[in-house]
Amino acid sequence: MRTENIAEPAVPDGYELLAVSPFNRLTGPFYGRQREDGQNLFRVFIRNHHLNRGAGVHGGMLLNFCDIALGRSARWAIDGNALSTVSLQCDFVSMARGDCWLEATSRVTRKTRALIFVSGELHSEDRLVMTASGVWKVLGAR
Amino acid sequence: MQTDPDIVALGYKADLKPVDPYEVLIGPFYARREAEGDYSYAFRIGAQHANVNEIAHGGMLMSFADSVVANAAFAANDGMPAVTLSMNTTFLAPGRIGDLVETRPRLVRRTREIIFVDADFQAGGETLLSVKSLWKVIRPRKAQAAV
Repeated sequence: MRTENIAEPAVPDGYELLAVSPFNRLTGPFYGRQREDGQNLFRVFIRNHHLNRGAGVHGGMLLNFCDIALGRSARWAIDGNALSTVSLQCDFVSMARGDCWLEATSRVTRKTRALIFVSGELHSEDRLVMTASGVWKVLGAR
Repeated sequence: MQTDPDIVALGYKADLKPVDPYEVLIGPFYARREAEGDYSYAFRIGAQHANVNEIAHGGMLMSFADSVVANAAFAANDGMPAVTLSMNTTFLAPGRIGDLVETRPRLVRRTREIIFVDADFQAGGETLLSVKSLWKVIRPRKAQAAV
């Protein structure tokens, strides 16, 4: 159960801090765990500044975490090249609250020379929050 | 909150309505009432909005989109809240640090249950992203219970 004055838990077992861009620093920290079966795991601890006025996680934050969690699986699937998001489709299944981890799973569903297809889900307290799929472009691919 | 005089000069005002904590974190966002009664919205891409490629983070652009398209959906719902059902985003061009991003969301359709809003986001005459969104109508009684 939750307790008052929750400090952010330590880096979860087996997870790494994802490379910190300025916007990831502003809205994170985000953690990721690459799994051999391709079903990668991600986490961010939800604080007050991630919420909307209704005390749910802001829709923009859910979209942001989706971009990070799916985009990271795309990056893990290639070597070196930079990527850019081409499209992202997100369905808002239910709301998520603060003072707990927001979790994501994502996996690459298809990889071509220039494009990577990724799908994923967000969960909060074992509840499905968002389903998503997206396409990433490998920059510099010929 | 520090306002951006160049944005204000375009007729925008910093959003003075009660804002969400997340929008305080990533904003400020600006709004301008158009002659037709709808609104345009703007924000300037800052260094804090960048990804590792030193362009605007996709998550930031979608966060701005969700925030301002929500206002268009609320307006279509007689000022009552609506909740996001889905958002489909196409990224067309990178946003550079310093760019002023502007959008004028369009109400496409409103049914009993669902509000359809589209928005294109421009900077420097180029479209950065295009958004199609669906919003679930919240009826007054339910909205009151949620407050």
